[in-house]
Amino acid sequence: MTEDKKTKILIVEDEAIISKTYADELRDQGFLVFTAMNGSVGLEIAFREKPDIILLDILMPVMDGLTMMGKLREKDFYGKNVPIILLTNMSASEEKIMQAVTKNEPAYYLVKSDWNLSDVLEKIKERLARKV
Amino acid sequence: MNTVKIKIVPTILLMVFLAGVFLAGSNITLAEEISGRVSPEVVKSTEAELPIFTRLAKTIFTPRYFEPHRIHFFNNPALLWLLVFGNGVIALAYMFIPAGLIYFVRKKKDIVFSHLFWLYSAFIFLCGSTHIMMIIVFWYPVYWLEMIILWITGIISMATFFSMIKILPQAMNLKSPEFIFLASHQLKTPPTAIKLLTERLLGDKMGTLTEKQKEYIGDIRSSNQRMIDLVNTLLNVSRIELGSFIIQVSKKDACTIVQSVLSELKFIIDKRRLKLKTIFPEKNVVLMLDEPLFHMVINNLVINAVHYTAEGGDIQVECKMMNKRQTLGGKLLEENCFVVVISDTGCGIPQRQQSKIFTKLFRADNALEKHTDGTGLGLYVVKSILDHSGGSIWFTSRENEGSTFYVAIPAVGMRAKAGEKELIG
Repeated sequence: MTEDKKTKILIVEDEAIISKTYADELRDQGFLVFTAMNGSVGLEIAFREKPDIILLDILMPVMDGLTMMGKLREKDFYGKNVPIILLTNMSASEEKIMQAVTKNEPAYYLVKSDWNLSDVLEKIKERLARKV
Repeated sequence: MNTVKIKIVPTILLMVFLAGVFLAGSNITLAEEISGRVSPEVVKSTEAELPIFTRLAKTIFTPRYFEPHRIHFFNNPALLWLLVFGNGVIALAYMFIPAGLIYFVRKKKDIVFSHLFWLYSAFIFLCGSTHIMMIIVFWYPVYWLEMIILWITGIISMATFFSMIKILPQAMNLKSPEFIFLASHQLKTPPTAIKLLTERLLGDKMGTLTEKQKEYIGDIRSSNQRMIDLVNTLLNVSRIELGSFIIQVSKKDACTIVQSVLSELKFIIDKRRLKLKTIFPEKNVVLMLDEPLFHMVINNLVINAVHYTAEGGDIQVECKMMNKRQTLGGKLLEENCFVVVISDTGCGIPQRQQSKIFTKLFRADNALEKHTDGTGLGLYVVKSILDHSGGSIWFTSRENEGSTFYVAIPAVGMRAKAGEKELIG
């Protein structure tokens, strides 16, 4: 598969090891992977590269995931529609996250420590399939 | 502020007090002479013979030449009574507040800075006494006694104030449960990375691993999972203690949830060659349940049964509806209930430790031996969930014979509870 035909995925995560592990796995699975260490850099890459899906951490320095998602959603057609999977170690009913998720469809929400790499992969594939 | 400065103020106060007492004391005779009621010779001759303490007590407790305050209000008794009742109400409140504080300090064993609570109680109590004195001096002019109580109050107030200032920096640094909650999130990050990495290592893209390498990576993965579970349990405990966990109920089939717990644990039950017997009612039992919480309760109890039963032992799980006024496990049911009875032929709970079994971090002696990984938090979490949702839990147990735990949920279901955060299963 040539580079430009590959599905683009952006990982926004401040924990370098977690980010690298996801990136390695996704590259092995044939994705074209971009990584960002915070929401601000993430936003820049998102508008430049227009990834097909974004994996987004919530607690990050400079700009957190929820702020980044908000900025993305208010920008343009791409920003409003790109699917986002939120990765966090907070749990489901934390009000702020749930509000953000419902307000910013299409977004998912996964708890990192509860999910295996393969579960996350499955979720990504399922989300991308639905888009088509 | 350093301690030297702190000690100066009460010392100055004490010196002023003593100097004042000396001056006022030397004035007694003078005042009595001026008032002309008693001739100095009489005072000297009658009092000089008395022992010093009797003379002191007489001065303090027997008003001699002062007038009671009441005389200033001879033309306005309404104002007098308003003052009396006002002081009375304040005094009453000031007596109850320290009682509450002392009860709190004595009951709550883990309290920090408890000396400050005692000091603060003394301070409020003494403030109350000054108001009582204000009432008394309307009728009995015991101004000496009033002055002494006032000064003791003043000195204790100052001591309280300075003790408070002294501990303020430490108190600001106290870790609140909310802090523990946030710290626990951070604690989860490293094990999350380990989890992902071990999964990658065990995946097919990493080349061939020897059996031993696979085994060790598997061990890393399961130890790491224990770490994640432990942090989750700690988070649950902090949520329980903050009272911030949520109970969301919806109509669920209780037996299906129990069955799903058992099928998830089938692997470990089989591994330990335990014989599992289940008894379910013929009809489904639908009631209002918070599924994850009910799942957590049953899961904890069945896992305990598995851990504390020797290989080859028996575990029985029974679900049934029961009517009120029926007896179950030595307890009379107060309402119609859905009950889950989980019994095992395990090590049981020693009689002398049975009363502590739901206490946070408590582990029975024989439990410590059998299953070293336990946290002593499982039953505490289970009981907290049931207490908050209107359910109940109790047990019967004999050491070396086995235990039976009974969980009862009212027939109407669990009670919902508003909150901010879910407990993590």
